[in-house]
Amino acid sequence: MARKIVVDPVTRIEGHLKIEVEVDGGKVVDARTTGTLWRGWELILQGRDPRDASQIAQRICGVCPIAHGLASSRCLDDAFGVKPPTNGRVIRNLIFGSNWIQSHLLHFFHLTALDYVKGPDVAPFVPRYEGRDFYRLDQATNAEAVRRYLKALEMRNKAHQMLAIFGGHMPHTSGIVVGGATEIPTADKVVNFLWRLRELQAFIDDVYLPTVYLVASAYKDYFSIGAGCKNFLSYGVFDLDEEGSQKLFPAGVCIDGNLLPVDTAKIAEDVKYSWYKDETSGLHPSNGATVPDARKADGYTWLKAPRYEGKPLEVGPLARAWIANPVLSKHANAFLGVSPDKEVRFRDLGESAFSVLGRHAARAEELRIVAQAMEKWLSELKLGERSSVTVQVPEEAKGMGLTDAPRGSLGHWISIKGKKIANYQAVVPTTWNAGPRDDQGKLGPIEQALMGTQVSDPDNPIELVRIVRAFDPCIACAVHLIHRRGREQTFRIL
Amino acid sequence: MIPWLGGIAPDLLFRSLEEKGLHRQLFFFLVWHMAQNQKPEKKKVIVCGIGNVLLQDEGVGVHVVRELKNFPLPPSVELIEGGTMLLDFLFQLQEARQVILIDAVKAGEPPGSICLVDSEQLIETETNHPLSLHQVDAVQVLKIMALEKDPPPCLIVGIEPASLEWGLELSEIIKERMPEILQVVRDQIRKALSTENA
Repeated sequence: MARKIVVDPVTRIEGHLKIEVEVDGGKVVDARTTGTLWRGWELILQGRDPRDASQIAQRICGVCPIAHGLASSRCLDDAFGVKPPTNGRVIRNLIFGSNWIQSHLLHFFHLTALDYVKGPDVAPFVPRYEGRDFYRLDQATNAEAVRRYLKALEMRNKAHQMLAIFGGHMPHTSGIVVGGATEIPTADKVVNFLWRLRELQAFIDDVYLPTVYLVASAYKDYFSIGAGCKNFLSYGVFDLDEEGSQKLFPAGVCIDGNLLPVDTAKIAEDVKYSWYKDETSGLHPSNGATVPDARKADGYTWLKAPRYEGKPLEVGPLARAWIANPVLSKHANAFLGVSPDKEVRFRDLGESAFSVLGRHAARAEELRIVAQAMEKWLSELKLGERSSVTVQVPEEAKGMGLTDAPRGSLGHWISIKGKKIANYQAVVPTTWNAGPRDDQGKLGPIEQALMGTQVSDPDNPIELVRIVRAFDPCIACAVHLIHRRGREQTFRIL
Repeated sequence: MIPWLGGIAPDLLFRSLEEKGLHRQLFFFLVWHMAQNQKPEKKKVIVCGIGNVLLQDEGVGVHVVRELKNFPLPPSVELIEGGTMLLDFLFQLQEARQVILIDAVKAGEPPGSICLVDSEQLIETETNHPLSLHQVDAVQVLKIMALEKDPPPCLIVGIEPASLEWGLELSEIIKERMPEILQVVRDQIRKALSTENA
């Protein structure tokens, strides 16, 4: 007999998400993910000086504001027709990299870990789901994990301090602007940055990665739970040269096992199952129109359903790892029982990669790569030289800014008329992942990942939240509104 | 910490050494030196004001710490404007010899009343289970601190709020009480410093 399980709100994620599944014979037979709150960013941006966009857009999210600041700045670079100098490119990467470190540590230790680690009976370690075999680590290991949880708070603090050396402030930095970055690098800033980076590199190598594999070894069944759609998108991230032709993690789509270059013309957003008017379905983001329809019968979420050539694509660390296929750390070798002098790449994991633990491993492994690369980038800085070019606001222009962010592929689109923002649109990572069914009824990536899951106890559906959290959803980013004509409307929070 | 490490001087030094090929040695010495100087002070008395400055007297702790900056204090006393996420900088408090936490506390007393509470005495009321890390309150964080070995003693200076409405200013009642509040805090700082020397 089918039974409905609702988790609302899903805690220990960014933003406001509800999941609703139907379980029959203990297995998930239907799944719906709902973004439960929107705020109207594009409306706020309309009519403003375009240079405000990269500052205001950051406020979409407090965990990943740099992603929006950077995508927005790249979008403005495109619209204004400017290119940052080397210092600007490198400083943007250093600021962004610092945020990646903070964000991934937050995600694993402070959002996810408590699904596997049993802490003391005090908030934030309680309330927790309880059940047989939910927490498989022994008492000593749990205690050590809690110590690492607390140490990770200090490490995030350091990552923010590091970021603020070039960014000025965190969260929400003023350091990334159209045309580059604001700080002129000097030796003292580099030194201040580097000693913190070294500590964070050590934490990633000696604490973060080992903890991920420690959890993985106690929860091996989670390598075959939460597969998802197995098709991926990455816009690429961390430009290694001024032309943008080389990136630390390359762009690409992987569909049915085939690796292809990204063609943004193939992106469209469906709204049949979203609380927007049906007539606005299937539009490319640069022509996006969003007309809310909160009482639409079929609608069940404020998120739209982005599709690539009609297909749902997963974005984020798993997507990047599958596309880039990086060499893994020695911890991965140890976990897989492979000798340390042999090279293991991500795709060697095979089908196990498409799973809850595949996502966690991908996230930790990519962070190690980012932290190592940041040290090299520091040495590319030209001390005492400018980090930005002088810009002029164009009378009329269009622009697009793409970057992968900690949670996946992020795009900002702008249309400037009379030197003001006429229209602004963002399609963010979690919209790809946590979006609903498209017009053809194809489930979104997280919905697909939930399907077929065995739920041991409907009152403590830990399997479901472990799947959702592995995606590191950020719903604060995923729900926002474009409104072309700026009519004032009131909405109930459903 | 090398005090001149800021501004143009290091750049010029750096570039002059670059010609001789010695810049890398200086560079890595400085990185090492800075890392050494970040080791936590174990003798500090940390005075931390917490609360939400958007809700008038809810943020009184932060206002008090801002006022304390106007008084001469020895280097062994550290002031922290804590804000609302105590958990995020718990690691700093753990390195203290003594923590003095200043916060709005509802004790059922007249507004402006000051109470001194040892953290151990705090009653764990049946607090609402937080839905988010943003809702973890100070009592819960102090309990976490107490779980570590050798946690620092923590004294709470509690001020009964008059108004918790939206606003960046303290209520008039609390503003008037500020001199007394500051006196109480400074007395406690003095007490903490004298036990350190005893």
